[in-house]
Amino acid sequence: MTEEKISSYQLGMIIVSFFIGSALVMNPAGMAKQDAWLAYLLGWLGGFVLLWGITKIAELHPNKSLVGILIDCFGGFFGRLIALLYAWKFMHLGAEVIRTYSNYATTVTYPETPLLFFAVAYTVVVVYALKVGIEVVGRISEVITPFVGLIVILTFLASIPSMKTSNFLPILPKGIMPLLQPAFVTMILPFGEFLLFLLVLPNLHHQKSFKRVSYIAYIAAGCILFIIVSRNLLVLGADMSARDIFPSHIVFRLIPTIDVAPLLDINMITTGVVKTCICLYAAVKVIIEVFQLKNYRILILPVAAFVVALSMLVRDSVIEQLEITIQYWPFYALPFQVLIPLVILLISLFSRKSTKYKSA
Amino acid sequence: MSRNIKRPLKYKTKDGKDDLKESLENAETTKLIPKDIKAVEDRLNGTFEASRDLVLRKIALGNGMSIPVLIAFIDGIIDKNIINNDIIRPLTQGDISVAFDDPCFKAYLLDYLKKKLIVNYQLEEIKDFETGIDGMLAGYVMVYVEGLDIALKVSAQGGDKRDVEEPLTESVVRGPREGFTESIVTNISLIRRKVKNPNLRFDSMTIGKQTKTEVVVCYIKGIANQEIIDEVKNRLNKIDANSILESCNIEEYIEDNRFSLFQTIGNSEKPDIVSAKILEGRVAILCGGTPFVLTVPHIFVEVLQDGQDYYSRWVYSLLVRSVRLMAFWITTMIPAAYVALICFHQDVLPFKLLLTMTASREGIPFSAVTEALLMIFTFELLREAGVRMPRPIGQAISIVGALVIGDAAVRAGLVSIPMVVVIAITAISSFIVPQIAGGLLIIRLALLIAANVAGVFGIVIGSLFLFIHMASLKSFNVPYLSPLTPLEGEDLKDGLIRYPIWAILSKPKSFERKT
Repeated sequence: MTEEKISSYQLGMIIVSFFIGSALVMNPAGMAKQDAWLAYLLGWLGGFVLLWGITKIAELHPNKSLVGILIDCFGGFFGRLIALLYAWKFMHLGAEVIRTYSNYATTVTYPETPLLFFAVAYTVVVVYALKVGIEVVGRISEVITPFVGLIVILTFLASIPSMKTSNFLPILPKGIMPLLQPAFVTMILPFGEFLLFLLVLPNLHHQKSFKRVSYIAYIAAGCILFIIVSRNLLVLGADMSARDIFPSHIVFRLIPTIDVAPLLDINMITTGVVKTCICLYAAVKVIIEVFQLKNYRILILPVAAFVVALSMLVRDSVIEQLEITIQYWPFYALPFQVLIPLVILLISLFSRKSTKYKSA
Repeated sequence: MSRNIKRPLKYKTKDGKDDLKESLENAETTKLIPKDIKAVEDRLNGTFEASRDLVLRKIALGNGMSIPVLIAFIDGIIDKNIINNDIIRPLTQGDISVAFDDPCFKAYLLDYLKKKLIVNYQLEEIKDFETGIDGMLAGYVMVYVEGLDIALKVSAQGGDKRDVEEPLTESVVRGPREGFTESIVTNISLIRRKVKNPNLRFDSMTIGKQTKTEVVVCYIKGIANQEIIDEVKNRLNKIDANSILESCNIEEYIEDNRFSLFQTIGNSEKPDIVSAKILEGRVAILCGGTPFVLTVPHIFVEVLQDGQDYYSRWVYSLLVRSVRLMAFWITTMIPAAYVALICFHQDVLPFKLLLTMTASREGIPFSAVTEALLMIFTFELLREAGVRMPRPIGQAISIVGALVIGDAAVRAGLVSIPMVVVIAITAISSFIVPQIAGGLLIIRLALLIAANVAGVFGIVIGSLFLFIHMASLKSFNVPYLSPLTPLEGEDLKDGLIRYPIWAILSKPKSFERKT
């Protein structure tokens, strides 16, 4: 099997669509009411720390994927065990994403269609994309993502007439403390998931450019999401945007003279497919590396089927999903996205120093 | 067409496979050319079984007519003048002073024939009997001489062939009007006249067990990527076919993805277009017996390109590609989008438009998707009838199509007016990208059904499928969607838009790229 390679530009575009993916419809910063934009910015800046840590880990372990890094740090058995936990985490994340989109479709446009239809239809595309290879995922995101960005900017411009700057007021009525929780959630929820790209990293054509590409893509995605958050807040006001499950949808409907709601469907399906592809790819990659299999393609269908089933089980309703995502998910994701990477970073920094010391 | 000729040619069975022992003994001798002219004649007669077009002309050399000579060829595929003037005349009236009858001269006979008597620029010595027969079938003349086990193969190809004419499929407003013909020699000369570069190579091979079609791989050494050239030759050599009647047969054998709706091998009938593609580093495959020349690698933007783009002002060409891309989307999407809007997303339509559309659909007994399928089917019927009909009657089709089916169907309340408009736009757009029109029909129907099932969601899922499929295609290791993806900035100048010709790189970078 020839090794699949993606270019730096493609990786950047995958990262952007990955971040926009779920945040396009859901928005955890909304809890901070009129200060959502500030909370979002705080979370975004906090995400930089995680990003720095992950790029540093990648730098310290060149040409290795997450599994290799874990084995390096925790030894063969524990490394593989933790890697399998990560595989579970990525599958769970994929299931969450699929559930979010199916929920969106059934809540907003197709109230009479069963959830499973959307979950399956959506996953079939993901399976097909992964079957033909991660290269193709890179190619489709390379073409689609600029359009998604363009649509976000256009909708921002189109909804200017219905914006009220007074929606930002009052700024920080109770000090900075109430912002911390939404900021923390934002940091974990879209931005902390960057860890996944340690599994896509071996496919990058120019390994050296990983750091630069990650930062640029992170900033670009941050800007696009900031536009979305502030647009929703400006149009809907603090109360509405905090209360709505899918505030972006309402904003799209509120654009005067023209109804562009299907554009949001298009946006979120395309970015969501990319995001789910990456989640499944990461999970499958972890599994084949732990068990030292050769071809990742045979695992795609079973894993995807499992994820679809999981997506039907994880939540009971849309409301529950929103609640759990905001209240509990960050603490569930914390060890995977912050604690373990931190330990890895410390171990690898320490071991590098010690080897340096030894060699000196 | 007689594609599957199961019966092997006679001369193969005559080899005596029924008697293994005899064949083993004779294996060596039957391969060679007998020294005896009579035996040669018998074997030829046996092989062709006195076929109507086999001509065996016996003449003799020398004063005493002591050395019989047999001239054998297939009538109709040779040039009679060449045989009369270049072969028979010198042999019969040649140098009388030479003592052919002298036994000492025997040793020089072959040399003398080759160097002094036979007037032809192309001459070959043949030792193998079968090779001689293959040569005759390809339009060569075989000269057998008594007492020699070597025959001479003389080129005399000719016969009836079409002149260089303007091709019907790719007629142009401005630009060269000549087109390829069925003769491969003519086609090679047409390319050679355009590209006067010694590095322009024509590598010949024969494909097809029955048809023995000559296939020529054409490229410019140094410009074309060597890997692509090797890959083309490799795939051509692997073809194990009975018959190659048209270059399309070759296409199906060497395609990258045999089940794709998109063709990954281009074809053209015009020497200027093929030359331009060769100059860009592509490889052309010329096939004997057809004016359609294949070019590889073939990528998606070539569907949107047209020879005309380069012969008209760049200001116009700049945008016309985008118009064609739009036509591609319209022809695949519009019926599906219409059905999705009617069935699922009425709120997206402006209110007044919604009113008119609902009013016009009033009294229509069918659902929107049935209507659309009906109209698409009718249109395909009309198109097929238009192609099959002799041209004089073809006019009638358009009258029937436009008046009877278009107008009357609406009045009879079978279809709504907006649907007629939608299908008409679809049809017109499909004519803009004719190369992939067949595949687009299937995509159109698939999207239509997806839209009927799940509205915009269905369309998006369907087009993602389409897009992923297109992105996964490769044509001779060049990604089908390049230079769009993988992105190649320089090549985009001649992609969806056309820059002024002096601003375009002469050779696309995508052919060298790996990711």
